[in-house]
Amino acid sequence: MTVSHPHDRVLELLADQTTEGLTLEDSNELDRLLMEHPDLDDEELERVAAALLVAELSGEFTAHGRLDGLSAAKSQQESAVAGDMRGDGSADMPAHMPAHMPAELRARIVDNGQRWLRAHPPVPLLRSRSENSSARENERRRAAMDTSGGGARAPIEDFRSTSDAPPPIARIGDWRSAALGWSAAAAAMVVAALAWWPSFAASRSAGQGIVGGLAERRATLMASAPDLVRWGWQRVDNPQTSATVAGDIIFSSAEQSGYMLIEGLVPNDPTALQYQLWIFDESRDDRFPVDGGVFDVPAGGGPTIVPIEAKLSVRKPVLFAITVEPPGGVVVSERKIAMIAKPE
Amino acid sequence: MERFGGLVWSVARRYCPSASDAEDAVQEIFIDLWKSAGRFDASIASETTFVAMIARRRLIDRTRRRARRPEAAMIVETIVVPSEPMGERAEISEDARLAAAAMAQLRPEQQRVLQLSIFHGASHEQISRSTGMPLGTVKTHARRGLIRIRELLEESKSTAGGSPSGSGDGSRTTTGAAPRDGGAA
Repeated sequence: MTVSHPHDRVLELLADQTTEGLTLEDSNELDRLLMEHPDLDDEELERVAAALLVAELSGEFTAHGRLDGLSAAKSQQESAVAGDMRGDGSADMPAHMPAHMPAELRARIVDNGQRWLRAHPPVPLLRSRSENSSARENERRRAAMDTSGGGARAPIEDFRSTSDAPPPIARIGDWRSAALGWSAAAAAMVVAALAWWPSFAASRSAGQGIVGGLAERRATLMASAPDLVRWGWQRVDNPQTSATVAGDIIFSSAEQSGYMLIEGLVPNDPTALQYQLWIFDESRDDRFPVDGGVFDVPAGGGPTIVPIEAKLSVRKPVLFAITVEPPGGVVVSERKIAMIAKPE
Repeated sequence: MERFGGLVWSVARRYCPSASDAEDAVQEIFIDLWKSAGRFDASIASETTFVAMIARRRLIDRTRRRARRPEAAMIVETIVVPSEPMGERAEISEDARLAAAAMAQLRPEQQRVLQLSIFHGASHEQISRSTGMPLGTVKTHARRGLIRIRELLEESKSTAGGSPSGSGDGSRTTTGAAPRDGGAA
């Protein structure tokens, strides 16, 4: 089979993205190509892969004996090798043993959901159209960077929530209630929160100097959160850290929300390195701090406000650390720390 | 949660090297789902496919980030193939059924590469090591196999009488159908 149309390279990149993710270079190339061809559905191959995975998990292939590529013997052999490596005997599992999520994990996710909803209530958009546009672009870049390919390139375009068009509230509601099966109250909150997603998406971008939205939100959180911690930054010897640092970090565990006010980090080239926040939680092993999000410090000087996006629920922070990481951040940091914040 | 918890957990267990890693991944996936829910469009894909797509993205992202660290790369040395399907044998959606039928039409080597990649989250390099195929061949099979499935799905939709890639708001065309815009239509 030969692909012979003008979008060969786009298809190649989309296929690579779907099966393995892209390098930063390829991701940038794909971004450029997609901008030249806004008519393309850049998620289609991902949907194909997802549909195949669902079919496999549902036993569709086994039930119909459909595939030749991985014979039963071959599959068993590879499973056995993998099972040996895992040391968990998983290779002996019958093909369709039910896999139920551990109850503790389920409870944690429900807890995360409730915290997330509390942290992102439905608030009206306050930004001007130009601010929205700029924020979407920033978020789009961050998303492409953040995922190095597998991830969320499309989401920003797909929100389709230009300042002229209301978010698809009804559709979200239909899906939420039908699909995720939260309690009615939680579902309603999710619908409301998601309806204002553009507001949340925009807030993730760092703002420099006086940025109305972020500064206001930071002030609001400081005024309203009863459990707020507020610690000043302390300098750590690092080439990315200026001689003097200033600013602070605020965080509310109840709201699962917080902001960094940073002065003293060297503006970064996002293609070379990025900053990443780590949150050390009293309830977690120090070896596994919570990822607080990747961010950039734009050139121009002055304080930068960055909203915190904790990837997991934080119960009681005991220390915050900013590290210097490769573009996109990492799952486990080598801890090239640039700044820390902790109780005095 | 009730409906898709098993799916997300099953996928995470397949793509993650350990149960604890899968637990963290599942939490991230659900946060992504909450954020991305507004993008779901029933005219394009089923809910199950949408959830699986978001889950795969996050897991691939995690795998890539993990692989950037040398020690992590060593841990993920071999393809992990646990067989953990969804909890209560999920109902299979039409798009999944059609995709399965299309995959069955691929050449065996393409099927094999896509199975290891999509069903088990193996990297191209891992597949190459596991199967003995050159890395370039693995990439080619993955690309061509996936693109071929998409083409077959387009054909089946056309045969069924519907316009390719659904109609709905018709805001975007499909990757494969669109290129014909160079001349046709």
